[in-house]
Amino acid sequence: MTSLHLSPDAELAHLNDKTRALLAKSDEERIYAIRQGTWLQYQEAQKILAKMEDLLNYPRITRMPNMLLVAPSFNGKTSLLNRFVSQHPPHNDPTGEFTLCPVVSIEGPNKPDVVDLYNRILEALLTPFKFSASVYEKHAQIKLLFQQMDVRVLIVDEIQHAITGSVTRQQEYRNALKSLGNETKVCIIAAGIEDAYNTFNTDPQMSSRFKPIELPLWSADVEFGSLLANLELRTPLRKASRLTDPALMLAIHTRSEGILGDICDLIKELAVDAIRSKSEQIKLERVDSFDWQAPSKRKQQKRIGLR
Amino acid sequence: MDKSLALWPIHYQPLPDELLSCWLVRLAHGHGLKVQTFCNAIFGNQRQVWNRDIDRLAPAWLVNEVQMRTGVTQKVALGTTLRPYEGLLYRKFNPSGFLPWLLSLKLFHRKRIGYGLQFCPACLAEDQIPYFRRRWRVAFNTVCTKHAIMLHDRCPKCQAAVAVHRLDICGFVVQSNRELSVCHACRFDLCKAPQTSPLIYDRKAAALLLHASRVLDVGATRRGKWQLPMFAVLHHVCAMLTARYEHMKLRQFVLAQLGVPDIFLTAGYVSLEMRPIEQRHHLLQLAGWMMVDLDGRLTAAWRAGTVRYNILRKDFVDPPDWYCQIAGRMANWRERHDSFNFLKTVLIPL
Repeated sequence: MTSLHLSPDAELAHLNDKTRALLAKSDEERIYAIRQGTWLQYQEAQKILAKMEDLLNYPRITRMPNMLLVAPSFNGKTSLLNRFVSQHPPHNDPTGEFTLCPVVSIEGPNKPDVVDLYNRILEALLTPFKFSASVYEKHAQIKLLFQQMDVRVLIVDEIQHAITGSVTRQQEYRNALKSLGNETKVCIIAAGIEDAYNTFNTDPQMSSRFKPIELPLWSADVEFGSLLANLELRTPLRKASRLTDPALMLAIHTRSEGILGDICDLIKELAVDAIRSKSEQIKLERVDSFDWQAPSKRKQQKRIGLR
Repeated sequence: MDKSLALWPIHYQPLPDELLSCWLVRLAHGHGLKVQTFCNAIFGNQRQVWNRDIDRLAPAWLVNEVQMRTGVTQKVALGTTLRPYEGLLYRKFNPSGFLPWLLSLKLFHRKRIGYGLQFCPACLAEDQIPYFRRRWRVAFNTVCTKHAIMLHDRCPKCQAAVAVHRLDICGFVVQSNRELSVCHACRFDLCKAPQTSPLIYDRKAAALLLHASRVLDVGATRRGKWQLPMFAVLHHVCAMLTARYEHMKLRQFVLAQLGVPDIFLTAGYVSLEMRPIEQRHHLLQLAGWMMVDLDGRLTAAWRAGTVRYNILRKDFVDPPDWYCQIAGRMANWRERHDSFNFLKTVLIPL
C-alpha cells in the first residue's frame, strides 16, 4: 500500500502564513505565542464594533446615544472594548497644541464613587490633576479636557460595580454619568455582566439613554464552527486537528460551556499539551480526558484532601 | 522612549516672544487647573515656582520639564526666558541682585510689589490670545515699537502691578484665554487701558531709542551698533543723570539744552529698573539725546562743569574702548576751563 505524500504546503494548509512561520520556532516559543493569543474577528464582534463606530461619528446633539454592552463573565466584552480603543488611539503631535483622544476607556470604580470615577477619567487622560480637588473642580477639568481633546466616546467597563453601594450613592453615580454625557456631549459605552442591567433599570432616565446590546454565550452552530476554524488557523501545531469535526466541536463546546474566554483558553491549553506530548494535534480523546474544570464547576467548593 | 508619550494632553506652543511665566499660566489653565495646583502637581510642593522671578532665573528643572512636556526644542523653551539677553543687555547672568535693563518684580511671597512687567494695550487687544512679551520686561522699552504708544507698567484703574499668575486666586475661574489680559486685582480689562502717544523731547533721540527697542523685536536680525557695549554706555548715562552727588548737574544741563522741564523723580538710590515708566521714559529721552552725539555733548557737559571725569568711569565695569577714549579726554580738569569760545561753539548749535 502506497502512502499518499502531501506537499509541504498541503500538509500545513490548516495554518495561515503567520502561524506557519512560528513552526520554525522552538516549542517554548510556540507555547508562548499560543498563550499570548490574538484578536479573533467573529460576526457578533464585527456588528458591535460597527455600532461603536457609529457612536464615534455621531454628531453632537442635545441627547447623545449611549450603549450598554452586557455579556456573561469572560465572554469577550473587555477584549472587544480594547479592540475598539486600539483602533482609535490618541493622536499625539509634538508640533500641535493638543493631544486628540477620541476614545477614553476606564474600568469603573469598585463602588458607586463619583470621585473615584472622575479620578480614573483624569488618569486615563494622562493629565496632571489635584487628587484632593473637589468633585466640582474635577468635573470642570474633565469637561474642559474632553472639549480640548475632542473626546467622543467614554467607555466604562465593569459598570455592574455601581450597584454595590447604598441607594443614594448609586443615584449620585448615575446622575454623575448622565451629567457628564449631557454636558460634554460624548457617547458613553458602559459594559458589564448581567448585573449591569440593574445599574440602570431602576432609573428610567438612564434605562432610556443606554441601549442594551448583548454578547450571548456561544451555541454549537455554524458560527461556532467558524470560530474554531479561525482558532485552528492561528494555533501552530504541525498536524491538522480538524476542530470543526462535529464530535470535536461538541466536546469543546461542552467543556467550555460556550463561554468565549473559556473556549479560547481550552484550545490554547490543549495545543500546549499537544506540543509537550509531541502529538502536534488536538484529538477528541484528549479533549475528553484533559484536566480542565468547566466554568460552572469552579464555583463548587470541595474540602482539600478528600478524593 | 517615544517622546510623544511624554507630552501633556494640552501642550501649547509658546507665542512669539512670550514670557515663560505667561506660557506656564496658559498651560495650567488649558488643563483646567489653577497655576499653583498645576505646578504643585508637576513639580511637587518642594519646588516653588511663583515666589521667584522664573523668567529671569530660568531654573533648569522647570525649563526642561516644560520643554519635554510640550515637545518644543530646548532653544525655544529657553527663548521664553530672559537668559538669552545675556551678552546683549547684560554681561553675565546673576541669579540674585541687580541685572542691567531687566525690570525688577520685587517679589513678596507670590505678590509683585515692583512694576516689572509692562504691557501695550493695543498689542493685547489685537492678540487672538492675549499674552505678555519678554521685551516688556526690559527697562528701556517704554514705547511699543508696533503701535508707537506708551506702554503701561500697572493697571490704570487700581495701580496694581501685572501678575498673570494671580488671575485664578480667590475662587476666580478662568473661562477663556482672553482673560489673561485682565487685571488680577480689579478685573479691569488691560486691553482698554488708555493708548497715549509718547512725549518726545528730541526726534533724533527718539529714533535712536526706537532703534534700540527694535533690536528686541521678534525676528530682528540687524542690531547695528546696538550690542552690549552700546547698551552698557546708555545704562551708565542714565545712571549719571540721577547721580546724587552735589556737583552732578548733568540732568539739569540736558534739560536746559532741550528746553524741557524736569519731572518728579523718586528720591534715594533708585536704579532705573526700579523706577516707574514715566520716570524711565523721561530719563531715557535725556540719555538718548546725549547718545546721539555722545562725544560732543558729554564734552560740553563736562566743560560746563555739570559732570566730572571720575563719575564718567565710576562703577562702570569694563566700559568699551571708544567710551574710554571719550572719557579720557576729560581726565584733566584744567582743560575744562580752556576757552569761553569753545563753549559758544558747542552749546549754541545745540
